[in-house]
Amino acid sequence: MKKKLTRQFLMLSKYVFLGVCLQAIVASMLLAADGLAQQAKLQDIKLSVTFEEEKLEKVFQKLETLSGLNFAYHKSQVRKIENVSGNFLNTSLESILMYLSGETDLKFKRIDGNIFVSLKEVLESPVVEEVQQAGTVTGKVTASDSPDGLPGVNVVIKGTSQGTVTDLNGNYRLDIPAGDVILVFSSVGFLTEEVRVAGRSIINIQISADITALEEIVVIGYGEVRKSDLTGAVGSVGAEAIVRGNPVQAARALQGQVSGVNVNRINSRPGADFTIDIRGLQSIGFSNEPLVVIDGVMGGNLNVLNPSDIESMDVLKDASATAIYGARGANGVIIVTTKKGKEGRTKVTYDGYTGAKVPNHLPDMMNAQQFFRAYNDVVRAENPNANPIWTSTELANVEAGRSVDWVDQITSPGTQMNHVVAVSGGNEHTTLYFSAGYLSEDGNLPDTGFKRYNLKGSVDSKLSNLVKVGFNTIYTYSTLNLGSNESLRNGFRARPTGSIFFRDVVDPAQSADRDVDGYAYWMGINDNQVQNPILEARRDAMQDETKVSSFLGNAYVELTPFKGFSLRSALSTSVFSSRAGRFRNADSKARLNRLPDALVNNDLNASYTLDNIANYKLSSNRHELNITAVQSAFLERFENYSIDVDNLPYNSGWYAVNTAPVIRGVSSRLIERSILSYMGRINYIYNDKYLFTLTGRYDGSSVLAEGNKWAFFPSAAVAWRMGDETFIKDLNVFSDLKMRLSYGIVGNDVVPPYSTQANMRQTAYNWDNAPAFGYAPNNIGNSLLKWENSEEVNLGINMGFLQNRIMVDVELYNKVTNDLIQNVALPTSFGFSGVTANVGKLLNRGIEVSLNTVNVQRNDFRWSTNINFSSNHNEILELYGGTVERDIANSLFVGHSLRSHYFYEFDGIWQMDQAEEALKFGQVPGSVRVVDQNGDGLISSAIDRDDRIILGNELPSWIGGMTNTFNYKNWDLSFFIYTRRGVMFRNAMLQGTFGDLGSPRYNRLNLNYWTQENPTNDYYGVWQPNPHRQAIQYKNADFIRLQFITLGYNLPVTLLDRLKISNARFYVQADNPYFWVKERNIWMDPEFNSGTFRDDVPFTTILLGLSLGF
Amino acid sequence: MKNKKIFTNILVAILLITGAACEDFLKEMPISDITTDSYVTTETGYEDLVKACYPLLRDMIRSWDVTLNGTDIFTNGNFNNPITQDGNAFQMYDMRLNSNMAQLISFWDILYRNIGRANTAIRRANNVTYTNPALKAARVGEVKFLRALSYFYLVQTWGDVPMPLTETITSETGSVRVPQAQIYAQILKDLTEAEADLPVTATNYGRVTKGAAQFLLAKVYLTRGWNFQNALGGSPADFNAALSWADKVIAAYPLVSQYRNLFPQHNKNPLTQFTGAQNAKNSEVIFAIQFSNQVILNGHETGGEPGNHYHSIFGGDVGTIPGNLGRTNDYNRQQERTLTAPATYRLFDPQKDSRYQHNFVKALYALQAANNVSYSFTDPTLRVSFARGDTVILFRPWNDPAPLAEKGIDVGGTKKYSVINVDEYGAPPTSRFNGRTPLMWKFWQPGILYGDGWGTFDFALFRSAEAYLLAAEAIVKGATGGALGGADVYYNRVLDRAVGAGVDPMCARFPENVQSLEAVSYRATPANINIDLILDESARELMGEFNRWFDLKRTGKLIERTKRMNPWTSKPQAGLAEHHMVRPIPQHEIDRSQPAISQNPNY
Repeated sequence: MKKKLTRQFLMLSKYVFLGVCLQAIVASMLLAADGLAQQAKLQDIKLSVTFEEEKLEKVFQKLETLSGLNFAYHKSQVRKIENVSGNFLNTSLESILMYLSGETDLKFKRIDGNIFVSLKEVLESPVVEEVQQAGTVTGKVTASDSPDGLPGVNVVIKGTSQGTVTDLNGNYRLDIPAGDVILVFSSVGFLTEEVRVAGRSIINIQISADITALEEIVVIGYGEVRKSDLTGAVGSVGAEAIVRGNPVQAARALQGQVSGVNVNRINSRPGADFTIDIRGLQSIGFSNEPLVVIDGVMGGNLNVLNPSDIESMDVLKDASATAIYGARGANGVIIVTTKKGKEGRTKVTYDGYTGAKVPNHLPDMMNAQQFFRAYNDVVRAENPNANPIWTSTELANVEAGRSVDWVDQITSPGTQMNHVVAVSGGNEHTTLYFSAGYLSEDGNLPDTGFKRYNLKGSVDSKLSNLVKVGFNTIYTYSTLNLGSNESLRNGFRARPTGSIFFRDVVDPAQSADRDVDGYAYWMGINDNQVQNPILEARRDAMQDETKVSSFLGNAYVELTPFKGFSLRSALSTSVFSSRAGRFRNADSKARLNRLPDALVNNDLNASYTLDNIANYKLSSNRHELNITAVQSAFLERFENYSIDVDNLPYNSGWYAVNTAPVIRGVSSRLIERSILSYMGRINYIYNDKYLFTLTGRYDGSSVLAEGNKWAFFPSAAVAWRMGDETFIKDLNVFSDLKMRLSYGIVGNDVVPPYSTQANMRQTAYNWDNAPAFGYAPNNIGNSLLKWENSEEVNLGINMGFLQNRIMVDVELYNKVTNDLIQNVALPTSFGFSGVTANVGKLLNRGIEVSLNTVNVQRNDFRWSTNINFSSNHNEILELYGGTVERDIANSLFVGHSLRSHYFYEFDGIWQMDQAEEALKFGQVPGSVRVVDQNGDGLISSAIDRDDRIILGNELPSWIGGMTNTFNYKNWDLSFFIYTRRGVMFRNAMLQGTFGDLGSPRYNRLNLNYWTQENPTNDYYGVWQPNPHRQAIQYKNADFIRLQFITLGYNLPVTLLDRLKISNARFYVQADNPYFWVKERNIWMDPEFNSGTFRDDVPFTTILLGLSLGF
Repeated sequence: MKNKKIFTNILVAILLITGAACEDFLKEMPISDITTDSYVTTETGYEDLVKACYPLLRDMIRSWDVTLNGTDIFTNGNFNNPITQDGNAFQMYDMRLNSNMAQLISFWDILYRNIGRANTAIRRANNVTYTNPALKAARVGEVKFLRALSYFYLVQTWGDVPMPLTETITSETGSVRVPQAQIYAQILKDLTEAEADLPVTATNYGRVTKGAAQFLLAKVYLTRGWNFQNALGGSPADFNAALSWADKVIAAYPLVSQYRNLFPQHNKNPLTQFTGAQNAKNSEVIFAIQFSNQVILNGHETGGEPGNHYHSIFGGDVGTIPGNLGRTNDYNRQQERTLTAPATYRLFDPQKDSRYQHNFVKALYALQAANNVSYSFTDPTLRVSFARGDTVILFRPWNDPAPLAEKGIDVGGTKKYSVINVDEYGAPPTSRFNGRTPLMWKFWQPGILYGDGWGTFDFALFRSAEAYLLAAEAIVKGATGGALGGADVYYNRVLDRAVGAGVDPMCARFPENVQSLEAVSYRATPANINIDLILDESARELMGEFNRWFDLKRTGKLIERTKRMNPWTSKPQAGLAEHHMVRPIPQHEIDRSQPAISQNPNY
């Protein structure tokens, strides 16, 4: 035995030295302590120690205490090794290590004060010692976001295997040879830094967290695991990525950052909401929004959060991951964890930015001269002498080359700013976190904007070894002012031939014009559909204000009656109240000379979740078992009160509705829903390589029919950490490799409450002016309504190459949704337009790839890239129990995607030389030609000769996001590119009045329209009758957007020390500076499909920001 | 020890909360909502269900596009404008008049929705007990009448249509078109049963009465008697039935003395506008759709401004004439949904017929001073001024057109205001205040809030004047035994009220030829009474009362009269043809029916 050890000891080679060194650098857990024995040789350190079937960790702890040397090792490696016994009396440490090596197949390498522990290769020497001495460097290593010292950081002299690790306070001391020495600082979870010593004896350094780190913790619902222990498909964004783009709403931080998540803005107004769907649409007509869980509060609203308060957002995607939320997880789950206090010195941080929102990327409208020419093209074609629409004012403007850009007149740059102050700290018993935030985003229309105030506080306290308690509260108050929903549309509609000011109107009588504060009410245009947009956009024309007060609270008590077992009871509550007021005065477009009207709507939504969670952890040598059992009850109450009044005697907003002589409507309503659940999850890990998760959830929902309320949703997942297998290691290709396979069923009860009952609605009538209120059947009660369920298989692969400098995650999934809950339209001859029912089967199949690479890593330059790609195939498999292939009324087609467009196919414009053929179709040159699909010489939608086809759909075929980050010395630069492909919209600008060239009433898009002299196929003629013009409105909305680009500068440490600041970063950011879309001139923004009503203009934001830590 | 106590307390609390969370926790117990099953079990509940069968009538009459446009008397503007090629699809009967027409779809949906309510009420009648059984029978009679009324509009508009007769309680897609004869039989069955059980005077004014059922019986029998395309199962005996039901109605509902008393009181000059109370109740009304002066009672279920829209849907536009106050309620917002055809003015004797006087606004006045108004499109130096109350536009009657000297300076005459003759209607304006048509103010109600609707005056769907004309028509078609005598007698009773007994009113002999001043009497004699004379009289008496398209279809005159008198339909590019006698089945009904139901031919 001894002989064997000795031989191995002697056979140690330099090559092995290096390998050991590298292993040590990526060690997951490093402990460091100063000791007297630092300089003594191993064989001179004599110890007396006894081990009795003890874990190696314990053994190393004892040796550390006795010797003063540090043991550095992979916990995961060491844990798998069986316990050891031994009894040594005044034995040299070298001998003890030799003994341990023999027992365990470990090898030890001492470098100064540290002993690095790793697995032994064949013929390797088990104990190696290396002590070199020359000059000395000392210093402190801190994390970039904290002034506290970082323990366990490797400090190695570049090109050698010499080094040390930092102690508990982050201090290190290292002897270095003379000459040009570079120190390499590395630690798992942090970016590696290299520093040239250049004669210094003290080197303090900050290192930054590496967000791509392997040991990331992922929240999985009622628990958390190391990312490496995940068995399901979960995507995460951390605090840094969330605030990187300075989003107003947290949802945007997910856009293009997590594969499989489709996030879209809904309009350009301030504070605008986003729609989120995960892995394709699951539902027709009902919500596709994922469940949002904010610190345990289910059904939260992402918009009430200040993005800076978020620690992480974890997106649960596959059935195995979402199964723990069974009933409510069918659309995926986003778990939001807000920031909590950390043990240590109290830290104060400030993050803030301020910037300008500048209107940008506007569609191309006609100017006065183009508009005049387009109208006259119509008139001249038929009646050269007639010219009735133009007033003298308009003629004068056109002739003088004047044109009014009304959109420009009513929009101006706005400001956007955000300020957040946070305090975090605590001791070993109690930790706390408080923050206060203010965000303000102006609209580009006058007097519009979004303001949000956040207060957050959380405390966690360990009362004793038995009891731990904590609470977390988030209060948000926000005000959204949107002004008139007509403002922007008026701006687009108003003819450019008009005049802004009354004094410029040549003959006010022609347009019955009047002077309102110097503005011409009708702009000198003889038409009364659009009044001067400047007047409509003024604050006193119309107010639309929503105030939201939201409280999220969570309190828990956790008991640990014995080791490994915990019992946690948490009560979470969300109280969301919103007041929406709308006031329109007599000058607004909607009222025009009528007295003002007002509408006020109050919503109060309160929900309560009670979770009782029992958790038991058990681990022995090769087994790790984690059992979670949860009982959960959820209750939601939604109350609504609203009143709508007319003819207010004076401008009183919505604050004197009692003065209105006319009440248009009064209503109040209460809606309640509840869910009761029991669930359990078992995680089992064998030998750190084989991972199993079993989840089951038994759910009851109030909204479903009696007898169908309860359902069981199981799931199972396995993962195999192949990278740890020798045969994979031997390939020398992968630095990490893991495969995962999961299967599960999740449920969905998306229907509104009371859908299973045949409800009545109140009707109003009168008998000779006496009220005659009645009650009419309102819907068909579906007493068969049951859970919709989705079966999903997910195959995931995580790969790391080149020491994880390249990391690839691939997910493949196949999800079939059965008993789809849908509003099915019925023939209206049955008296109802539809019924909510379980019909059909839907498929979502897709691939998600995320790629993280460190492209360049040099002394002071680093370039990393993150790419996300997702592609989802959505297909209806079955409708109405297989009886129907095509449901045209609902645009549902078996074998095709949801949200398909079914219409005639655009085939260009009828040209002059086709006049004869056009006539056969009842058409004339200049009008839209569509494809006669069946060639019967007739364009028809009749059932047996339907020429309509599926043109495309509104679901993206793929989406991708790419973030590039460059760090050079103290500088950082990052930019994010986002693309969405394969979406077809019926373009709202063309569909609305702006594509309707035939009308002289409103201004229109500056389109390349057909005339006899311009025989284009781009757009139909100004005049020709166009029964199929709708066909030209279906447009591809592919876009590529440079979402943001940011340049930052960190103040150097030397300066920070002088300023008593722990960190300071300045940055400048451009948000949405550029995007590309085919046919740029017809889109407000291809991300959504706006027709200018209830919208603001697209914009680019330029921000200046500052982050400070004290 | 303190910790242990906390631990115990918390544990007890958890158990309590969990224990309470049993099945009751998941039971839906709506507080603000009621269900049909729970509510329609008592007399009160049933009363409320029956009340709910009325409001959709308001929505129904908003389908005026379907029943007024594309007829001989209503059209759209610009028909003499050479640069305007297309009229409204309803006038043009072209490819746009297809299965996706929103107005046709909503008419269909509203009628069937009301049938659904009536079916629910009829089915659930057995579940409720009334203290007074006669009252319950009357209520069932009301809903049977309403169901019959809806089917009558459906079958006339679309021909064979689906005919569900029971409450829909589960999801149904098997819609089937039922032959017209079967639908007529069902309508008559419902009406006959209703007539037996309905009271002469209802418990509330506005409910269906025995008279309403009798009136509808007269009209349905008359329609079946004509036996459109021999498909209605009609026979000549139906005309006798029609006459006898009409006689019953005529006896019970005497005509009021003045035509204008049937409609909202108003003055044609907004500066001296009538401001008194309005009264819609009178002896002639058989069944009126109720409207209220309380907005909250006056709504439409399918949205839009509440109230009776008829007071503001007829042309023409005054919003841009000099001296007007903009979009005020003095002339109201004229949407020109329907415009009176030039030939229609020529059906009246402008001097003798009080209906002409009531229906049309012949002069527009400056409501405020307007100084130095430039009236020319081309010469800005030509200007006129108006004082408040001055005439701005004058419409001359068809039989007294203004010669050039009496016309406005805008066209070379002498008057400072514009003078417009009937033959100029529909032409593009040549100055800032010509190119207009008179306002049709038959239903116009003063003092109504500015907007599209808001009218508070009841809409009389059936009044006895029509019963006289139905009787006359039945006699012309061979019915015998009329209580009053021959067809001409019935006809002249209606005419006498409008022009005075013994007066001989003169209308244009060729209404469609706007240049012709040739006149002819429209008093009936046994010799001249025929369907066309009766249709002319119903145009004068009932214009705009939701019936024109059906009257023309019933009498087989739709194509001939509309092509002759409607300036848009008479254009060569208009396509009115035999297949338009039924409308296209809404596309959504076809698409949603499994298997798909058939479309009417040539759509």
